[in-house]
Amino acid sequence: MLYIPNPSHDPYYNQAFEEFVFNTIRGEDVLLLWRSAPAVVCGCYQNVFAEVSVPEALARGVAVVRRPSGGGTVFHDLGNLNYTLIRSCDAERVEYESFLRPVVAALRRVGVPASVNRTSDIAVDGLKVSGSAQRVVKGRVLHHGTLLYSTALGELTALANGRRAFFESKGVPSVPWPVTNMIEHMEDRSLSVGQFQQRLLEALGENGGIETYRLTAEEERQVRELAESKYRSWEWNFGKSPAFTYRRRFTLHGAERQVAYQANKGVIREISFDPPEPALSEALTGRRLELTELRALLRYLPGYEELYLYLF
Amino acid sequence: MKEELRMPKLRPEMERGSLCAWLKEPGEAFKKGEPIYEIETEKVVNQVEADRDGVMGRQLVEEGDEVAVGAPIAEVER
Repeated sequence: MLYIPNPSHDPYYNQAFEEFVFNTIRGEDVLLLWRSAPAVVCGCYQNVFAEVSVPEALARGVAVVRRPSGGGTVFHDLGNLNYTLIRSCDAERVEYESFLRPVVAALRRVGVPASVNRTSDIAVDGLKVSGSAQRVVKGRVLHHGTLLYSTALGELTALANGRRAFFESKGVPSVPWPVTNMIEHMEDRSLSVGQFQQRLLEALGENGGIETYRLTAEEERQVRELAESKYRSWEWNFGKSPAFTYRRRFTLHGAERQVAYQANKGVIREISFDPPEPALSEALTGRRLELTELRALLRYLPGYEELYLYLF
Repeated sequence: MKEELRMPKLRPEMERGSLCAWLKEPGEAFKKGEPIYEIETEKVVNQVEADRDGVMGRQLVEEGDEVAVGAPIAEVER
């Protein structure tokens, strides 16, 4: 198995790194262990706007990134260790067990009393410490998962709470499950997340051995290019959301109002206010749901400077 | 000759899958091995590649629709 170190903590770069390795390294089993600065990471076909409060994420300095695998929204920070396993597969036999079993065994060797829970989770005492998801392309499978070691567990709830009621859309909703940090269940709690990563890497290599491969400067350049063109783009992270309808009541300057709009590819198609605001509706129709752009636009409409907060 | 594409079964327990994205428009030709659509089940996104050359015909389900395993999802011309 090839282990490819990625010391970056940039959430966009890290998604690009994973995709680059998945697309270019053929025929060999690959392991990645990586961590990201605070980021909300949504499933490939989720409605990002319904999953996370974009103004809240921006205010807290949390990146919003779409990943190419399925499933729901997760929170990454430096207390969360991500692992990625890539290998060849039979596309007609999708399964998690053969990926989860060695990870559980390695966690136990490191001192975490973990076990497989439900189809794609790892748990300690019935509380989830790891969720995973996959992407299958041309006979290769990318399996990746979170490992909650010392993550700020409340962040996702704070960023995601109470939003679903505003939205009607297709796409894959998240299914929350009670979580815990692994460090809480270890005898030796002095281990830093970096030391934990090193021990887990050694434990994963115990059966079969691991060969380290470092990307060349040219390969790293291609990863940066992919990070720019795809993972930092509004089109991928936000524009890929399924069409949706949004409806919300709010109070602005003491008056109760309602906004309703339809969005397709993240662009406002039809928007109306109650009481009606024809000029405002006209100004917003055809605009993409990009927070800094909408905030800049509304800055020139006296009395509506704060309205952007209610469009997300 | 007209044929139907059907929702594949990716695991023994799979009953339904979500048709996430069409990667070919109606009327668009594709070669064997080219990706033609993506489905999601159990947090797995699976890019489905054409097993033979063809031309995409009428699409019977919309992106985001949940479809039973084996149900027709599109017509293709071979």
